[in-house]
Amino acid sequence: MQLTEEQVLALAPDDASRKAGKDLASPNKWLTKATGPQALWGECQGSGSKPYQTQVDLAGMAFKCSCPSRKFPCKHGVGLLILYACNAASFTPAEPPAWVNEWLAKRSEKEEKKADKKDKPVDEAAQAKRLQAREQGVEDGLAELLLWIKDIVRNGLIGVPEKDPAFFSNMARRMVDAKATGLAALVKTAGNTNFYAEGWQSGFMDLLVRMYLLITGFTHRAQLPAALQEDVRSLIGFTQSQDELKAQTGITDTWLVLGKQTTEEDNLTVERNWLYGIQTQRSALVLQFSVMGQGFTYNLLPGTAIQAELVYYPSTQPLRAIIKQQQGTGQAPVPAMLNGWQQVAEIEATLHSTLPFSSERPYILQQLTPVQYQGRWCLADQQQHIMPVTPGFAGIWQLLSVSGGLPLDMAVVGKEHAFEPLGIWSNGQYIGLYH
Amino acid sequence: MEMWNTIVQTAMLGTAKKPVPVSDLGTQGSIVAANDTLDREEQLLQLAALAFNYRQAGVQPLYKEGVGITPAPAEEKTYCNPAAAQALKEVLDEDSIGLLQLWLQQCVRAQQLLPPLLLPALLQKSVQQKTLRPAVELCMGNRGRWLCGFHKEWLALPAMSEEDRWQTGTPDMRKQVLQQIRETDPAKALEWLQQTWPQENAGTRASLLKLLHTNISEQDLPWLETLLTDKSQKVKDEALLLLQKLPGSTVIQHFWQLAQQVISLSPSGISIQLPAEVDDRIYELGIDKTAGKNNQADEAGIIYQLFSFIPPQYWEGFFAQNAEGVWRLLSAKPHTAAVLPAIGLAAGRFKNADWAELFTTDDQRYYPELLPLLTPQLREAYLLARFSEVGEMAVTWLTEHTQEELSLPLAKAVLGYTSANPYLYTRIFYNKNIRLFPVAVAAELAACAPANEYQRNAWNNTCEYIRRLLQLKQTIIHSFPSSLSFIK
Repeated sequence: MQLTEEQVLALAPDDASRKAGKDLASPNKWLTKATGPQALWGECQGSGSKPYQTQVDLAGMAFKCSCPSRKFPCKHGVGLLILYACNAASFTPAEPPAWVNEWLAKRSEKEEKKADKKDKPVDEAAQAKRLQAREQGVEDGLAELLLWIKDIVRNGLIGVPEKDPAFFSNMARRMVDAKATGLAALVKTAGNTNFYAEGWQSGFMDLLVRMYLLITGFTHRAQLPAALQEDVRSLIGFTQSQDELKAQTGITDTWLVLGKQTTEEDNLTVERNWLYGIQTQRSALVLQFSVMGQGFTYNLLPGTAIQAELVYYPSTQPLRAIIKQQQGTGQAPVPAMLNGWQQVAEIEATLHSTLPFSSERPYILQQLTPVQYQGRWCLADQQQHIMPVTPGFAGIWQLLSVSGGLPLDMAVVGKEHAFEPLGIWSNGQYIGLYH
Repeated sequence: MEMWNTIVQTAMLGTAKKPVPVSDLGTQGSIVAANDTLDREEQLLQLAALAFNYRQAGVQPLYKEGVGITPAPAEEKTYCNPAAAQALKEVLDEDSIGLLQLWLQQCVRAQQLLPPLLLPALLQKSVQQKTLRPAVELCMGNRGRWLCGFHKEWLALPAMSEEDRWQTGTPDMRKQVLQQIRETDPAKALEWLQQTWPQENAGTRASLLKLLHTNISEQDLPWLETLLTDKSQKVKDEALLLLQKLPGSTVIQHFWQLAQQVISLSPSGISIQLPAEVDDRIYELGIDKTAGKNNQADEAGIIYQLFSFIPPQYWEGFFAQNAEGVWRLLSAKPHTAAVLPAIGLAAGRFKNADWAELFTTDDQRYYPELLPLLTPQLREAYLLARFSEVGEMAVTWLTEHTQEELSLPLAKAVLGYTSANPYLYTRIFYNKNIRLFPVAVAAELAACAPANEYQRNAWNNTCEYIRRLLQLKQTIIHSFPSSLSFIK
């Protein structure tokens, strides 16, 4: 796989590693460096007496280094790969030494074990029993949550701001115990409501209603269409096996990476990548998670396009997807675009007719102009319909600067009355904005 | 929306206090009310779920005619090329203020504009790094001025004229603008300061007076003399420091009268000694009585200080010799040679270039204050000859007073010194001062490695960083093809 320096840098867990990696991407830092058909490796003189042995499995993009760093990949891995990306010819073609062979063998052994595990016959009865126990656990938790919600509604939202934080955290913990992590997140969000903000009551009520819909949806799941059942289960916190998803046939297309939103909480970094299929005209959300600064599997750069097979999670309105296979990256042509906000509203109405839980979705619109209305930044289409920009959107100044107050073709993500620009087309080229 | 508001109002008070207003909620209300398996709370939640979906599915964009902003005016200059824009992005990623200054300097010289995509980042940076502001203002074009109109922190940048900034700006802004004016039009800066002087408080007066050290001249003298009687001691002290730099001031003239009594010529040679009675006023005008041992300045100490206040050219008239002749005369005997370093200080104070050159031959002492008075060639030769002894002082002087690139030999000398002091000169030093180092020094970095093994290892790591900065510097220079002449 041919990587660019920027792509390698995106694999680094943080800015410090990026900088340190760049420093190490110099031939004279490496006592040896070589490449084989599957991996590249090198020895770097660190502060210890023995040089660090760094290796990169190019096929699976995995790293290993003998340095004591807890970061992953460490600066040596990043540095070696940058060096390879910039100057592959400086690596001597060679047979892997014993320490590289050993690691590669262990990796392939692990893969085989995984495959064996997959091939093992599934004990369907045991599986069904486990599922039943899980569902019973969730139902018990949901019953408690319903009582909690009713209690709030009976006593009035007016008393909620005075509640102790434990009022929310205890219920969130109960939902985690019941393995309903989606609901736990909703309870946490409700507890984090800014009770000093004007109109908090409406947002808080929204959250209660979402929880109530999920509780009743799950309780009456047998009456729901199969796809909607999956939505309910997924929003409650049932996970979907990625192996099962990968076993399905996906949708192959040229996927334009519209934008990337990164959030961090408790050492977990979540990357929300918004993709748009050029031929299929479908959008997709690819989530990637990184624990304790470890790298992400795919490096998706806004503005680039990937040739890939994506498999959507089952849903009435599929959006979240995984990348089953990526064949390459390149530039994407300008995709088809909606002509204004009215079209977005119509699409959203259709989506809500089958899926009662709104979630953010990306749209590509022609000729939107940043404007100010009642002190807020909005995006106006050519038909003079305006839509507010999500408050606090960090890229507003970039957008304004590039537009100069004139309309631009734009990708946005959002729902209802708040959309956030992901990127713009300027002179036929897509430019991602800050997030 | 009305239905949703009714539901939220009911939820606010709670169903225990306010019954669900099913009759106000139309058909949906009646259907829910008819379901007698539901309690009040669930009735409200079901109605809320219905209204929630109704609201979500029925979102309509707001139609508003005539909402908009005036587009930015067209540019008169051209934008920098994509290579320069990419270099700027990398400089911002690297967070190197030295390279950012270089980039802006090149952009100003090429009369080009910042790329709109990176303009907000630069405007924000210039809020934090005020030294970047003038260059950013020159490179931001009409787009930048237009953009500043929407951002209150940036607004101050172009919207205010120099005079407005002086009259109504923040203390920092006023100091900045007075400094700028003093550099280009000293008389105007004096006039502005005199105009607002009665309205300033003592602290501000003192801090603004400090700015008059730049381009100080005899034109400032009459007004500065009046400040010696100011009520504030702080103001008096600042005025005195300024007057000590003006040969025509009463302060210097007073010292000169005493100095002529201190030095006497006779056939047996030159004698230097204080008269029996010394006017105590000299201690008010700048001579420190407590500078010597036990807080008591000895006679030699007082004479030394006194000579440091005498313009060196006065001695030429006194001895009827040119500068070199006076130097030879005073160097001849140890007791007269002892005052020469004080004359060296005076040469720096009164910016006497002829005398400054003479002191470059003094291998006993180093005179950093004379460096700006030397020709570049002489300064370089002086620094190179003395680097091993005065490395830290030389590096400090070069980083604080030099904007241009150093010659290759001087850059090597600097790196030879800094590489051996890795704790004092970390990456931050190179990041900030990369403007001083020519790109060609990249090939010489290995030769600058110190002998000590630990220091050499540290230097090897730093070298990579310096190389990257130099590479970026080269990219910047090549991105602005019309501006090569001033880079060596």
